[in-house]
Amino acid sequence: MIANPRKLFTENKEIGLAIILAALSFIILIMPLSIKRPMATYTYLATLSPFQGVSEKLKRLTETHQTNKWLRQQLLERELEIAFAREALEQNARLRDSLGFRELREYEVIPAELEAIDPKRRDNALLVSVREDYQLSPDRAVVGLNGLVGKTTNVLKNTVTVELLTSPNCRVAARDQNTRAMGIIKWERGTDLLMDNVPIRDVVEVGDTIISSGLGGLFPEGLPIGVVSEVDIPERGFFKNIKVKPFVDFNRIDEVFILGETED
Amino acid sequence: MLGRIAVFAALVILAIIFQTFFASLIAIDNVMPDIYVILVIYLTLTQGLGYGTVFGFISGIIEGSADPNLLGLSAILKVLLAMIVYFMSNRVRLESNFARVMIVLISVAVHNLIYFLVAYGFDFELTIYTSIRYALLDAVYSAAITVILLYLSERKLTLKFEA
Repeated sequence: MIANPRKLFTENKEIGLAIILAALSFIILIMPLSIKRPMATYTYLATLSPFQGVSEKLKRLTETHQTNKWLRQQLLERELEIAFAREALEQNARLRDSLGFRELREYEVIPAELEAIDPKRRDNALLVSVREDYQLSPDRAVVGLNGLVGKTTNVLKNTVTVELLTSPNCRVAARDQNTRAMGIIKWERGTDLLMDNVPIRDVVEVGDTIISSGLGGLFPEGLPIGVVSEVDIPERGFFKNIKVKPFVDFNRIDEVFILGETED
Repeated sequence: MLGRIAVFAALVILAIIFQTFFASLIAIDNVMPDIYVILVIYLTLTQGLGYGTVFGFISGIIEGSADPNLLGLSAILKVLLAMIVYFMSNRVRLESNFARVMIVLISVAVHNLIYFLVAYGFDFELTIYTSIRYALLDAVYSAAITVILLYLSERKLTLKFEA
């Protein structure tokens, strides 16, 4: 059958067509890339691209559906956690009441958006804006998603000046969450904060979380401030030198929340 | 003639739609059938070499357009696949189901092996790995579907090209 190619080619048109198409494919295969590239691009755009575009969109839609499902599940779990936490809070309030402890204060969380960096005090103050219907006053704690940011100082209509923890005027009564050792958080130099007034005998270790103690009266108890990065015991003196790396990155603040006191 | 071209064009579009949307849905552990290869063999065995080679060439060019470096490779392999199937089917009695399965399986496996060999720049190690992991299993899957299609075509559930 293949012994006489001319006979094969003339007598059987289908085989002839197959040989021509194979030769044409081979020519396309060995063509230089500069010719093949536009050919491939036009063919792809006219044939595969529309279908693959739809396929990609469908795939993304399916992924979004899966993510949505997962997020709904997460939301449900968080809602359950919140319900349990509320129950624990109420139990805590009842126990505190039965022990004769003073009532814990409740705070209204007021969202605020970064408006500008205070031009006069670039490293330690921000200007944030809030909705006009909120009643604001100076000396309110300001928190971010990661922890304590600072306190409010000037209030002008809906623009509030926030003094950051990196300001020398902002000091926070704080404590070690693990050992309960107490001190004062203040800024000294550099990016870290200093936890001052911690007696040498008190135990504070690197890695411990520092929170506000609520004893200063301005900041509520339990707001996360940072993590202990260095503990130095001086040869002379009564207090430890403790460096605290703040949870908040003061150069990347977008939204903050002002803790206003509720009327009741 | 126009009717035949229309049916042929519809078949090409359906093949693209199947390969794009549904092949991954019926994939088993990332092993999926190659509808273009299936149709090349099916058309060659049921409609003749002409249909098989033309479909192989067109689908090969379309498939290869995704990678300009390999444009033409898929087309030449599919045309050769149609020719191999045609010559083998002439020499082997296709009434035997076993012979039919073997022809389809060997043809698809050789097609896939050569494709990966050229695509990987004749890197034998990578070709063998990919062949064991995907190409041979793809061939088995595609061959199984082709045999089912051929069986159905015998039961008059075939495509009509005489539109």
